[in-house]
Amino acid sequence: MRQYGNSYMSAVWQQLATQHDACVALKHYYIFMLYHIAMADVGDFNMCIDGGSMPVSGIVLTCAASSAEYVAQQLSGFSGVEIHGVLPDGKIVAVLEADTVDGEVALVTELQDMAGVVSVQLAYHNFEDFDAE
Amino acid sequence: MELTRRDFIKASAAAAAFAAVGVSVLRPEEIEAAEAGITWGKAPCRFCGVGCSVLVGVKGGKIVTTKGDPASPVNKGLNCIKGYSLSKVLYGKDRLTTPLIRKGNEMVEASWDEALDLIASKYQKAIAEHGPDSVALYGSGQWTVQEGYTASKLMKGGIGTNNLEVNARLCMASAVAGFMNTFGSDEPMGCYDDLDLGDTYILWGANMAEAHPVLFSRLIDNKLKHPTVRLIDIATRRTRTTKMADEYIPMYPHGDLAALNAIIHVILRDKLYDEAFITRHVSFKRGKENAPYGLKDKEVFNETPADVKPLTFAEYQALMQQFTPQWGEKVSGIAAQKIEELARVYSDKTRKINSLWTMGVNQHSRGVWVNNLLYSLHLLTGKICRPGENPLSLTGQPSACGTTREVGTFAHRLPCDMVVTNEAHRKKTAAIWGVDPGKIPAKVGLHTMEMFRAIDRGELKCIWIQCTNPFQSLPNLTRLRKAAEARKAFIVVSDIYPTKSTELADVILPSASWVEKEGVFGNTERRTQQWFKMVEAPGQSREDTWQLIEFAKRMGHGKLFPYPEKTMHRDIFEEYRKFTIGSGKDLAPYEAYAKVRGLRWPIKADGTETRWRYTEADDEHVQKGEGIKFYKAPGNKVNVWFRPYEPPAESPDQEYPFWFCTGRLLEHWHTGTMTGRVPELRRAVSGATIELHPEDAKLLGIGNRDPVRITSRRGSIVLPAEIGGRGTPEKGNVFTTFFDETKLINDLCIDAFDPLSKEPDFKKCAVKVQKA
Repeated sequence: MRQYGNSYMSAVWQQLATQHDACVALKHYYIFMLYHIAMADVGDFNMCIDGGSMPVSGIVLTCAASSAEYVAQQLSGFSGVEIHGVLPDGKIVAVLEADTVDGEVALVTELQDMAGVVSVQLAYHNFEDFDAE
Repeated sequence: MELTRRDFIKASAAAAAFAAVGVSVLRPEEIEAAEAGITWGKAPCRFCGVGCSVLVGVKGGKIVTTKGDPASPVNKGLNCIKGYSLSKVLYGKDRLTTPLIRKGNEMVEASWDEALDLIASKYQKAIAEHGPDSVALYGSGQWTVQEGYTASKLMKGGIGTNNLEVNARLCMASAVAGFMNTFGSDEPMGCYDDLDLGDTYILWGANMAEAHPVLFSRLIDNKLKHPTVRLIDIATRRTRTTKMADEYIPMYPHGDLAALNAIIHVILRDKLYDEAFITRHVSFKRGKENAPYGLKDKEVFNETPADVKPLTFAEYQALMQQFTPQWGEKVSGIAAQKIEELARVYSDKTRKINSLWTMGVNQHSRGVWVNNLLYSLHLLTGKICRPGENPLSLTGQPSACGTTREVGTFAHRLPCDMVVTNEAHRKKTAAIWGVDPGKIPAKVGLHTMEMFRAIDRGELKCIWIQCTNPFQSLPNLTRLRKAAEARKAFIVVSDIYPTKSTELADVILPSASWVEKEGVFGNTERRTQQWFKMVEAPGQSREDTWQLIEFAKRMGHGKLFPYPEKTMHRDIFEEYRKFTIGSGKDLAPYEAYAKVRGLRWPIKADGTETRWRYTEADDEHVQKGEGIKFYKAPGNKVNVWFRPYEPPAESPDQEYPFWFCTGRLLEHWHTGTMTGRVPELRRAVSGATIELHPEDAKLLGIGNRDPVRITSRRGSIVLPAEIGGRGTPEKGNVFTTFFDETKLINDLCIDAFDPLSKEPDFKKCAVKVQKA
């Protein structure tokens, strides 16, 4: 598996690999995600879209345990949604990016209405580059 | 490859989300780097009564990031979508930053001295010419404890009037009256832990998924982990809550009053009650009936001790015989068979039964009675005061409990469950306030509906509104707005943005909000939470406590507030705390709240919190061997009330054939002055719509998004139709939300209110619906 030098991801991977219960599903989805990154244009991946006004949020989607995989697959097609993990109890951890807070809220609303999704909740929200209009 | 700041932030975002699901992630330097320059502090959320804790990140004097607080037992690291607006909300473009005084049709900038001098002179003039009852203060369940306490002391102990009211009159008053006349003490006996520990949850007219989202997700977590957990949604409308429920039971508006009586009938008929529990803990009572609906100005209706008749259990059972399941079906719309089933659910000894309710029950012209009947279900079956098994009255605002109810900022109240009509209560209050007991009036002041009607009649000369938006949120709005427009009273409004109320003011004062000031809130489960100031308020805006104290000084009541500026918030809290000691609502010292994610009162001698009241297992006021003891009720016996069915104030007829119901949705909060003020969020949910049942829409020739005219006897409005969206009313019903300031739907609402709680019924009146 190619390492893209993202030390955060490798640190997470290492930590999670020691947590047996979580690691199975997470392993699967890390491979899944890394595959997508591998398929991306190398220039895109660097993500040197520096600062600007794109807020970032960390969210937790709750799904019924049996729907989580399906939901995660659907999410892979969403731009601005990056899955960081799927847990055996049906929770999905993701990072959202959008152009505006408006966009983030619209995205969360869309996710909320997806089949298989019970709820979408916010864990973290940062918009320090965002100017008040 | 180099990592950008964005990468670091994304790492933090993921880490926070992992923390919220209990997966701890080793934090490499990247996450530390993301946090560089950010100072974190805790605060309860500014929005609903759930009381989630939020970690607020400040950089360069501005809030730049928020996190669900992982250390909070309430939300455990998660926030709902309104969390996106928490920090943006303070930085909208048209934030009020200077005092403004009306000069003709213009609002002109003024200094604080000018504004406060003017307000004081108007109040003094009114008091001199018409007495202290010609002035009023109208506050909020979003006031901090310090703000509410200052307001109460000023009005009742300084100016000498009980004309102090709050917007919680419009949301929780029925719940309060239900607590007081059943248990002798306000506020729940259980807590949020019951959502994790129970197995049966019956929702009565409560769309928890949208109104109490984080609490609902705790419930759903329980359900997903334990497949035997059952969620029953009894409602007049299908919602996101319905989607997660095991069973949806549709009901006619006002049908709860009938259904509950019918369920109790079955419990009695089939002897499903707990006789030992009843004998030990329950008194049966019959109150005053044939109650009015508050539609006439100055209509008086009270249930005094003289109006209350004790009943024997046998007499009570005889009275309940009329409420057969067949009768219940006719009146409530719930099938007789279903009523029988619900009686069996409520008395099921193998399950832990919880009832949950909020505005569907409280904003009801017989809301107090419905609260009483819900308690009766739990009291007759003995299913109460146990971990995982309790009735839970949900609260709408962040501090309707902590401030308005606990501090007692109502026309009839004093702190800590005390009332103005009781001489001993006035004496105790006066002693702590350091005023003559004769200062506090024994006469109950004007309740909210009467306060605003009194402006129209020219009897109320001055009103100061803080932290709420009555000229959008009151029912039968047109009458009250017209009175304000005619300048019948001198109106002061303290707020953070221009609203439908500031536009009618003579003086507008800019307020500090949330983490721009230090404060304390109290949530639904008796959890008192404190926070420190984290950022400066913009421009000249000042916190409401400061505004009231400056006003007090000019009114000659400055000595009531001798607190040094540096320790003011702590000092006010500690003075208020004196009321609570030994009362069963004991609060902890201020410093304790600064350290933890809140504490649930009553606080025990060792400083720890109480999760379950009235039970020897957790409540220190109950001795070993006493089991359950309702020690706040007279004779330790709680009341099961006989409450008959009485119809709504206005029902559909030939001319106005539809039920009209109003409420909230997830993304916007109340009148949208905060969430709606931020352009991005306003665009996220574009505006109020009218929900119709698809068959009704078809018959009327209305398609999704078509303009629809809705007319009541009081007003008319055009809204776009929403068919097949997140909510579907039952046939013959329409539903809309009140967050949109361009659509004053409350013009249509009837100003009927519960005769005991004086809380208006926003959930039912009659309208006609046509394609516009």
